[in-house]
Amino acid sequence: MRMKHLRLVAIGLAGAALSAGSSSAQTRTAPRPEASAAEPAGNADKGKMFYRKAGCYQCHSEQAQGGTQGPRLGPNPVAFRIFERYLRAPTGEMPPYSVKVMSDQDVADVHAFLRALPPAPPLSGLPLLQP
Amino acid sequence: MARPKPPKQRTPVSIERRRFLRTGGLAGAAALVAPTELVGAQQPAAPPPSRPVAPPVMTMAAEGTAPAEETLTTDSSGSDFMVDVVKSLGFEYICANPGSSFRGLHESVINYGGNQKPELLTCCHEESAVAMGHGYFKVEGKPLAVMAHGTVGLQHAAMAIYNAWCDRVPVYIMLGNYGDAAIRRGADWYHAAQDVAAMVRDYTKWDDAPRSLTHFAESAVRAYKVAMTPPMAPVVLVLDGGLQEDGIEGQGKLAVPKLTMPVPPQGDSAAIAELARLLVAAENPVLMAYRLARTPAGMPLLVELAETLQAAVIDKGGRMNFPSRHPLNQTERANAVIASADVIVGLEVTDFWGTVNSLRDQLHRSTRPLTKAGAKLVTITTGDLYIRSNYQDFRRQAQVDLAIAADGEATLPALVDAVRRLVTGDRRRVFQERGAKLADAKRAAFDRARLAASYAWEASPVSTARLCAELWAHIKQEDWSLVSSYYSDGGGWPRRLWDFSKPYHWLGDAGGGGIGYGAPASVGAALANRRHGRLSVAIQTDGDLMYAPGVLWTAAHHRIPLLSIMNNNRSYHMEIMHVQRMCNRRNRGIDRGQIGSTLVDPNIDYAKVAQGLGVHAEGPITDPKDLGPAIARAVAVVKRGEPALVDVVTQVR
Repeated sequence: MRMKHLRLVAIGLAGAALSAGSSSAQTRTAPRPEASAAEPAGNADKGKMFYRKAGCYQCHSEQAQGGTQGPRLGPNPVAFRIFERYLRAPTGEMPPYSVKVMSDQDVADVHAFLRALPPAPPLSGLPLLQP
Repeated sequence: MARPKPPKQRTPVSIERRRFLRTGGLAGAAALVAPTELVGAQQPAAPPPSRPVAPPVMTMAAEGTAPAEETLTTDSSGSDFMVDVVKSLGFEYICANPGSSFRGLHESVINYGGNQKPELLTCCHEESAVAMGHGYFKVEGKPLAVMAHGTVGLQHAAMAIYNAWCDRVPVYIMLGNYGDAAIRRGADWYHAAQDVAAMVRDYTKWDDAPRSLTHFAESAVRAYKVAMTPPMAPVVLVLDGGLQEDGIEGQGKLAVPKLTMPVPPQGDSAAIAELARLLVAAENPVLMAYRLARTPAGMPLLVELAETLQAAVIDKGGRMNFPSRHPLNQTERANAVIASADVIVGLEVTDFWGTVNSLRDQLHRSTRPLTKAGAKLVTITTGDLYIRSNYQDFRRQAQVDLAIAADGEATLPALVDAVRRLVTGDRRRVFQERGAKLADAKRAAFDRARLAASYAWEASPVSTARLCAELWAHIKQEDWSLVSSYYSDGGGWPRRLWDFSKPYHWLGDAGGGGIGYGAPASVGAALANRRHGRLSVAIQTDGDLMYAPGVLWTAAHHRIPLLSIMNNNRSYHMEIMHVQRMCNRRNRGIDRGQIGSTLVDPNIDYAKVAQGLGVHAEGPITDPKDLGPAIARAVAVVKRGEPALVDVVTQVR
């Protein structure tokens, strides 16, 4: 019998700060369409594949919308350098992604994928989510 | 707690039984099976009738020789009396996967007992039988009986017993066993043991192996009383095959003992007064509940205490402790309110240390307190009244300032009264300001949850938020009961989005964390909800269902209405995350963490599985737009009194 615990600690990127999206239902921001000058170029299509391959979806879900174990990562992710720093040396529960298993280019690609994610539909247009 | 006993001495009964075989023609059947008079509880027992002279010890040759005339039938049996006792305890149902070691009791239940109260429910696995009892109790508040083989059946049942024990839920388990080696048939040898209950003694509250019917009657009533006295837990009775099958002559006047339930222990009055003083003086008190609401009275009591104090409440979800949308319910903000609290009261919280501390699972594990310096920590729990050694369910030792060893629910009325007596006008104004801030925070948390649910709304596989929102739309106008244990910690979508307000809206989790609990416990809870006319709903995970899917057949066969919505993420996803953690920690193979933990190639078609077991089913559904109509069709089936299943391919979390 395999014993499992429903409250196992999260693997996900800890802290809602990893998505810069608003936490308010009234003020949602659109994803940033392009990388800033300080960010390396990334390929969103490659990033989408690596996001899944590297297991990011396990806590943050398929569209990086977040889940019970990890916060939402996109659209509108945190700045690349913050994102990269946390991946390399997480201060919370997330397992570390060292350069050995995730190159700088992989990180840039994943970040590009997060930037390219579409925004959520307007909350007011979703009757099932009305109070 | 019972201890291993020496081999049973059944000589008088077994000899007498053989005497029937040898001398039946001489004695006459009527004289041999004249039923012993049953007398009511509390009446003195008459001396036993004089026993016939024991025949000479039989030889193997004699045993193999058929007598000229045998008495082959009887009108009474020990198991008939056992049914009388079982009926007196008020069992509605008895679950079993059939087994020869309890064939006597089985027959008595369905014939002598009329298959009513208890009604026998056919189960396809002993683990399912016990887990059904687990789920049934959480709705009905009384135990369900289970019959099983003492060896092979108990081994199947063990995991579910462990879950029930960890969850402090009573299940009443009766095990068959042929203790007398001289009467065992071939298979009986595999179904017999010297100390049947030994293998589950570490995680049952009490067991016994009665030697006589009077012994059975007293132990049966005692077992019920022990099981139902907080802290509650499963109990085991080992029923000898001979005692079940032999007649009741020679057993004396049999009586059904009176059952008197103990009053659960209330906390010491001085300790309650001290706690009330702390709570009224506190600036940010927090009430944290896990298995507090033992009965439907529990939640209103906690609401009364919280509203009197305008205190934050964290519902850890072991039971339905507090309404999910109550302004004082701060479960989604647990860490924030813990960090600002100056008094924290744990009400039947099993892992109190884990709620006020954090353990970080990195290469070097570390811990840190979540509370601020000087915060007063108080516990009220029956956990201080009951602890076992081997299995480590007691968790880390929390360093608290006041530990009240008592039943939480039983203590709340006195605590509410004590708090009310201390509240002044000034404190009441402070409480109202605090309550207003908490209500604002609650509204913001709810808005955040709705916003978070909107992301990936159109995604395929279906997001778990979309699944829960679609399901909620179809049940919120009904008298519903979520019978599955989908994410009990408050982070799951149902508890973030739905309006949980009645005791049966939420039933807690498995207790021991053993997968395979969900499906049978849901069926057991739906069984209890059936007579109340409630719509039972399960968000059924795929890995859990694959442990013992035969319970769906039990639901179909016994017309147990249950709506199962598959949360089919095609994996044992929690385990994937564990292995991923190891891959990352060791700097290798981070793309291989799924190996060994997925349920793909082939994908399991749960609709076909359910259909094959006689259950209405649709799916697999991958487009979220198809989900609502499928749920509507399934709800219609369930309202007809049958189970239905909708297989939804979902995202992992």
